[in-house]
Amino acid sequence: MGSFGTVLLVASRSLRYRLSGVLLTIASVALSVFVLLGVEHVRQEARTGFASTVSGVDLIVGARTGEINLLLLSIFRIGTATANVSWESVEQLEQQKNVVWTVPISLGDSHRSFRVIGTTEAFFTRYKYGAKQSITFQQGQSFEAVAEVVLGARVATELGYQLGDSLVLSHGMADTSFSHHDQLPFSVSGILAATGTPIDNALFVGLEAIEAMHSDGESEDHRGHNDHDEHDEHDGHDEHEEHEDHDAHEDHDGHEDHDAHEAHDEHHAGHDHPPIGTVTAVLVGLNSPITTLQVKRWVDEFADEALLAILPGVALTQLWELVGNVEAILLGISILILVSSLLGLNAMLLASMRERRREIEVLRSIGAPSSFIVSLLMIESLLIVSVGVVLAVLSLLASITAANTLFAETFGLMISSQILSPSNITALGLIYLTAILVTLLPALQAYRVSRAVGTAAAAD
Amino acid sequence: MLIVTPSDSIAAAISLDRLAFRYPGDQMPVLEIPAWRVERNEHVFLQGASGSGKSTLLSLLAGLSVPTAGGLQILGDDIANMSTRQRDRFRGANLGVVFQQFNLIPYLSALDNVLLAARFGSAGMSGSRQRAATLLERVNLPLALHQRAASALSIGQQQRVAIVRALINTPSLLLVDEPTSALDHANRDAFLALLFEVLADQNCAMVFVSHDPGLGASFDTQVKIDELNHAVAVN
Repeated sequence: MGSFGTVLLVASRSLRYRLSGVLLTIASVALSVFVLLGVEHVRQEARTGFASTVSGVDLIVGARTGEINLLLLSIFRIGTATANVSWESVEQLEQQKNVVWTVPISLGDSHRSFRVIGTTEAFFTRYKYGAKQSITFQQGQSFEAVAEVVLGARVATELGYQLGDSLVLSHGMADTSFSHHDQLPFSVSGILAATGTPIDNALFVGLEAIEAMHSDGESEDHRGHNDHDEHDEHDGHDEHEEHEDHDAHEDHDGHEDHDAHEAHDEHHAGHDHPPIGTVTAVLVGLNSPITTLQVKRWVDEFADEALLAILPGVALTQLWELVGNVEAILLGISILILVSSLLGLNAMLLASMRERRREIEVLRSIGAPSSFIVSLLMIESLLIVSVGVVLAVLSLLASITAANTLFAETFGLMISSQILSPSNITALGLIYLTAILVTLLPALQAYRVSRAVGTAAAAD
Repeated sequence: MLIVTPSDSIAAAISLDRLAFRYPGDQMPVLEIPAWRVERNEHVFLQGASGSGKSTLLSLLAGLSVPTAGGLQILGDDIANMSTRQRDRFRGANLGVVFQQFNLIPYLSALDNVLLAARFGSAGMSGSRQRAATLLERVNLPLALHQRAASALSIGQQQRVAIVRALINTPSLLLVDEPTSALDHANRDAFLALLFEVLADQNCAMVFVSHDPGLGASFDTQVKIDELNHAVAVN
């Protein structure tokens, strides 16, 4: 048995002898390491998760609002659109010389609290996530007919839909919406493979389908909206600033369209999908990243409509910084928790020094050098920390598995169970370093006691 | 006696020469011993009241502390001038120490307490397990108790394990400090009888410290610490 083996054996017996105190200390260390690793891991995951939500899209164009609002709405589908983008603007944008493709998206409908995205088939080829990964179909294909729908992976598993199943969409987001588009049942044409992004939580239909849904069975008047002139007038009603014009309209007796428009407005009060002929946002692909700012400026200065173009990467970073501050505070707090639990370990060891004075005397009397006693103390605390760390890692893995079910449902994000990332290994290294530093005090005390054995014995 | 090396054979077990010891910070020394000698295999009874400096003397003899002045030779070696590490090794290999109480590491078994001493001594691990078991049997500790934690043994049993622990490395000098103070009369006599019995076939000198003059009868030599120590007692 080597010297280290002896220390290890004596240390483990010693810990077992003081089991209740040791278990409490282990629990406190495990808990604090769990919090620290957990916060650090979630921070990393959230960052990569955010950054990989969308790629391959150079610009996102929407009605003028906050940059982060537009990002949340168009990519995470959180919040509601305050205004929309008209088709004419989309067409003008498409004709810009550096614009290679545009994919419009139209929000506002839902199916059993999952958001419905009205878009074009190009969405599935143009939208990328992670490291420029394309969206792939797990089953089936894109929507072709008006009454076809493509499901995100989570929507399909959660609601148990198969290819060919038929479903009905609702206005707005509320699950209990009274306004179902019963007249137009959709059949599932494809199911997407899981991406770990908000794509998984969405349903996709063609823009024509959205338009068809809202024209059929609603007021007769909507058919007229295919005509551009009337359509523009209709838009005006949605813009608050133009309400004064609207009031002016009221003065005109017998304005035939007016009543119909009012009905339309009331109908739209309950949800937020864009009026026919407009979209919520447009994803834009450019021929070269160099032209991004040029096109962005063109959009921002667009005269006909108040528009805003954002760079998804920049906006994601801004969003991250917003959230990241909170995470940094959490990290700071968890470091404090760890330090306090290590101080608890220190206190336990120091408190036990009084009763261990005899033990140190005995060890010295049989020829154990002071170095043996110091390493005994240090190994004991390192054992406590190690068991705590192992417990923390195991329970973190278990918690991630449990939390993934919840997170994927709520945010469409999955947390990787690869918790031993380089940064977390660095964190573990620092934890051990701190533990050793914190243990130095009781070890020093033990050293002093061991050197004073001869003189202390004479006190009898 | 036949095993000892020639250089050892001429050296005494203990040899003190104008030894003085003063605690750091104190003005007066607590120990001043002009000369004292304990021969090989000699069993000495050192009697003195509490606070007479006998425990201090014992810790000097064990090399746990060093004299402030004077010569201190144990088994012919000048342990006062050794490094701390050398003294630790010397103690582990050549000396056996038995305290009045708390001789054992409470969370180690009786056997492991003995083996831990063997680990720091010269005996090495190979034969020591067998030797430890044999010695534990000799001091009437049944096999069933060998694996029991020291804290679960009676005081008498603990003191008997302490004798084995002190003898496991076949030391040449055994230092015993009031080992019977926690024992009742019958156990005390049994303990002493056992100690002499185990020592009978060992080439080992012994210094046995006690405040109780009644124990001294079976020893080769009886010494009063007050006769040895010329320092003026402060307490």
